Amino acid sequence: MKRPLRNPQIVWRHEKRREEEILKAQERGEAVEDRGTVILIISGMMHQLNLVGGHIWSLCDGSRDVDGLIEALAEDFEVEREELVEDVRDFLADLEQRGWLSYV
Amino acid sequence: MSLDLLDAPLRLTWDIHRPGRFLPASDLLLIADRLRAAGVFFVLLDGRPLAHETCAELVVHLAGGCQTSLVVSPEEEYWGRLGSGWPLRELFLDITEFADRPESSIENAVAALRALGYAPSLLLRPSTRNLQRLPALAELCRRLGVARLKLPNAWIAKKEHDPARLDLPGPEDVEALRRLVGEDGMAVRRDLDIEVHDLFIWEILFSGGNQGRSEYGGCQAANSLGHVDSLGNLFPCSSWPLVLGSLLTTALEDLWQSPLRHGVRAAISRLPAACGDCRDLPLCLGGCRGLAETFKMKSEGRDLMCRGRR
Repeated sequence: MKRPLRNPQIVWRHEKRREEEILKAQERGEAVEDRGTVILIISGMMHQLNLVGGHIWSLCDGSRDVDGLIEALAEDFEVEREELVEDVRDFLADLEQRGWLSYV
Repeated sequence: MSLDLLDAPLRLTWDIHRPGRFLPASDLLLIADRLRAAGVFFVLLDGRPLAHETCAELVVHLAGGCQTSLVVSPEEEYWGRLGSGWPLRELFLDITEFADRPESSIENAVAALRALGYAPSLLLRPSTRNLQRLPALAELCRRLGVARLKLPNAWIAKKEHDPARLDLPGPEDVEALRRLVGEDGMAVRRDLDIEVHDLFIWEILFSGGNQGRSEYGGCQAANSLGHVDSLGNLFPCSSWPLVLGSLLTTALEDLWQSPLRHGVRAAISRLPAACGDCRDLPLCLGGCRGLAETFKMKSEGRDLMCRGRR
């Protein structure tokens, strides 16, 4: 099975303290979809990924296939399996199209 | 997505040497470790870094976690310390003080850096003395085959009350450049990658579009930007002479969570009253707030290059 791997040319950082704040906001019932937890610099431009996107990105280290990635996410996010699978596949396809990841 | 309140800066400028004011090697390496631990992406060793005898070791040390760039001067006293093959992202030749001198000094320096295997970019810190030379210097870049010209923000090493004492450009200088360039900023930029920090210079060179500026989310001092001085003190950026704390005693992430840092971000979020209903406020978002804060008696809180509401 193909394993997604982040483009090694991309510098990125997980914003841990920011993520803690976002998780607290989420617990308070606030919308957090537009708040970034992972910062990427691509061709000099800064991009951000939100809580779920950042989590997927962090897992794309070439060590697990897509099913394994979905398993890992299912442990952390309470969401219908079908919905999770669809979201992950869409997100990975988008990253691949942008050249931000490939499969090994 | 909001870019506010990052855990640590993404880009840092670091002035590692001032005559009589610099740290020993062990302290420099400690700070480098702190920058790496905080996940700083880009470090620019600005000023005269080669003057510090630990510069080579520091560059190698930083390269383990940060992408490091280095600034050198055309008449570099310590040129001999720069070896080939340093792990640099970019090497800048600072021509700020050389803009009105014979071009041969710049040409010779570019040739010397190329002989060492580097592809230098030029760096011009805009000042009242050199701003009008910008078109000629862009032409010089093309003639020398230099691909990139960087115009960074003004560097305020200490508190001053009069921007004129620091040769900081004002609205008159910007207008003079506008008249010089006219409507054809593209001619200045031709075949050249020009990075411009200041909005009011940028809009002359990039008239009629927002290329490379669409992601601008306002002043990034104390958020994605920071500056470290030669004694290890942390600042919001090199244009904002407010000490946030010492990297010799405290981790960068902790200083970035301090009330002082949050105070700077709060000050930035309060847009200057003088900008009021300006048409271009959504584009400039108050411009350079460090200089405006430092010289607020001069600018009423507006960017120092701004001539007034539009």
